[in-house]
Amino acid sequence: MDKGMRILLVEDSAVDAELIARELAKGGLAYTSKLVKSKDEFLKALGEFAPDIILCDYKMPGFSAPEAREIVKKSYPETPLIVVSGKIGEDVAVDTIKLGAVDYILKDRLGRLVPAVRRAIAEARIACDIKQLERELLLAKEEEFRAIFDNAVDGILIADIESKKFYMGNNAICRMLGYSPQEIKDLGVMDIHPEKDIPYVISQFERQLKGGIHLAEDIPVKRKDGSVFYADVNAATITIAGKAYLIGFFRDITNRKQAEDLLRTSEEKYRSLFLSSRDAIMTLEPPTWEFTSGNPATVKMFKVKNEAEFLIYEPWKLSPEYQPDGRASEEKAKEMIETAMRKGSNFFEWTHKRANGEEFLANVLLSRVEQGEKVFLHATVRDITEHKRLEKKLKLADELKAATEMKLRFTSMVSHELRSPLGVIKEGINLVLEGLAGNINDEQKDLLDTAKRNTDRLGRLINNVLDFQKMESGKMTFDFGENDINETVLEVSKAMSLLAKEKGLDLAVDADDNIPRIRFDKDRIIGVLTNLVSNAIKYTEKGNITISTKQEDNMVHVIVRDTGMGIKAEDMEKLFQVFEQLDSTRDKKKGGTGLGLAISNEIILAHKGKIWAESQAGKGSVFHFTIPKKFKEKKKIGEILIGEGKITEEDLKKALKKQEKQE
Amino acid sequence: MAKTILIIDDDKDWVQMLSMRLQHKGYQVEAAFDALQAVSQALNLKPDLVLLDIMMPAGGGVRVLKNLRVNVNTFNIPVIAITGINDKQIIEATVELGISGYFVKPIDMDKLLEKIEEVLIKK
Repeated sequence: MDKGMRILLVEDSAVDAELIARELAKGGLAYTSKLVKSKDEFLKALGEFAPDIILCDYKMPGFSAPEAREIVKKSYPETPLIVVSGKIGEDVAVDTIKLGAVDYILKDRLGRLVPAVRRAIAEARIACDIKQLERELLLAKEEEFRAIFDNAVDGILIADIESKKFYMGNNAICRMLGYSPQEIKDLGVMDIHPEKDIPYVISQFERQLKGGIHLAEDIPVKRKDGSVFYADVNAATITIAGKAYLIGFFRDITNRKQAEDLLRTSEEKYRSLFLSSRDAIMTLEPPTWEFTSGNPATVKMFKVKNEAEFLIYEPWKLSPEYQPDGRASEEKAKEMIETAMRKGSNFFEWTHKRANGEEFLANVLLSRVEQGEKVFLHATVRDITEHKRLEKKLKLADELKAATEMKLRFTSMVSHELRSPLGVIKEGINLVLEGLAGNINDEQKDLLDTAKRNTDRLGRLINNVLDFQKMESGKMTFDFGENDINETVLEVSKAMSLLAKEKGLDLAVDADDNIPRIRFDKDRIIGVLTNLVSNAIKYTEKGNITISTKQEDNMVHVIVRDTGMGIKAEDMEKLFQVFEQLDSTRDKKKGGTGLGLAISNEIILAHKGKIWAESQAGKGSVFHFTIPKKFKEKKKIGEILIGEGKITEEDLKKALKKQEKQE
Repeated sequence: MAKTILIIDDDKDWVQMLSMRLQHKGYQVEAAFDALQAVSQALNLKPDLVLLDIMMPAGGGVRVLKNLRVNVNTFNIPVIAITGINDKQIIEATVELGISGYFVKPIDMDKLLEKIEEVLIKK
């Protein structure tokens, strides 16, 4: 390192120069030297000779060390200068140190020269190396910096603190904003935020500047196209080439914001559901499985005072000790919980117990929920007591319906089976009675009459049973038509006259001839009249029975009056009810199914008429029924529409209205 | 000439009664007690009227009616249906096949005789 050392000697005294040279040689330094005596020579040598070190006499004619020092400092600041002087004066020394001379050597102490030179050179070299290193470091740093800057995912903007204009921006920010790197340099803070937000942005900028905060959150940023996104901006001050800037790292939080908004919305939704749901919603957490929340519906369901009170329980504490299957609630509950945790959900029936001790059946849905690190169970409980009751009711109703239908089918079949032989018997009797099988005597006639009467009776009983079945299952059908009520009454009286005569009773008809034809089911009304008249005959020992008809405003009124035993006051209520035959003494001999009046009632009701009785025990009975003159039986929609022809939506609506009016 | 009536019904007792009644009225009466007999009798006899029990077992009544209607020799013969159950569906089905009247048991004999007369006069 001593090799090729270049020493510039600035000395006017040749003797001194020689001395210095000898000293240098003595020190074993490998060097080349040059001697200059004047300023001009000095300047020239600095450029041409390019010394590594300068040894300079303090004062020379026309030149001095301080001067030389000035020159060197300006142009060759790394080149050390040692003052070699005869003079010693303190002020000289101080001067030179002030000037930055590396050392000061006295001419008569030249022994110090070589070490001084070595030291100076070494120091100069180190300084040079350091500078070199610094330069390299700076270069490297800058490259590194550039690499980070250019490739950063976050957008980076460097803004001048004073002007708030951008010094530069990285690729990421350019992409975010939609500007080119060149365009960025023409922009400032004011240009990249929505106008209304600028005051806020500036205030955050200032705070970041002062070092008050580093992170400014939710900053609205405006793109070149005017669209806005939100960013978190992390900023710090930096110095570039002596100037202060604020460097800001922009992170687009739109996604995060959207996610937050979504979360907030879903949290709000959940909250609102939680509060307003009529199902009990609650949460429970491991390991104790105490309840950690319960909505208002839960409070209501378990009849606790408030949510806080609810939270002291575990599920099995709000249940009876044993479940209906005999298992202990605590054990079974823990099992249900464990299954839900394992499978993600569990749906099952559970018997709970309210705070007041009341037990109830519920459907429980447990769902496992994971919220970050936390895992817990969400539960929905629905009180199904009502539901079960309804289910049972429906099941019963279905069973009843099925049973009724079966009964109907059965009785239809049975009555058919019963009617056939009855028909044969009747016809057989009639044929003989009419003499078609030969002449008969009075006694034979009498016997046959009795037989016939009873087959008729049997027939009526079978009809009653079937009618009753139909009535019960709602399947009683009617055949309405324009009929003459008086005609019908006469028919019945004719049919019943024999019966009345045999009992010695007088059966008469008192008809109002002015009654117009009205709409009713002839066979059914015959049935009603037959029922009333046969009852009258049954319960009258002597006297008469009268059937009368009369007109009233909008009704036709039929009355069957008898002079029989009457009906007790307390029995009047039960009259038209099914199976209600009135006290055994009265009816034991009379027989009958107890269905007649109930069926008559049903028939008259179907005609939208009324049926009732007036009677006093021992004073005979009067049975009334009315049939409206203007009677429209309920036409089913299908029938209404068929009348209308082609069907449109309008027709359907009109038809529905028509149907409603009828009801 | 006396009109012939063919009674198709599986109830022999009933047929006995009805036959007596009809004969007294002056009609010639024949009877068939099952579907098979019925069709062959109808073909042989070519009666003026058929009284058909729709409720014969295994839907036999309706089948007989169908057969009568498809057969060129018998399709013209008026049929009065007798049914034990007042089943709207069955009645509608038979009406579609073409009958001159139907009666539901228990039969009002007077009305039946009236109807028979009416139908035969029309013929």
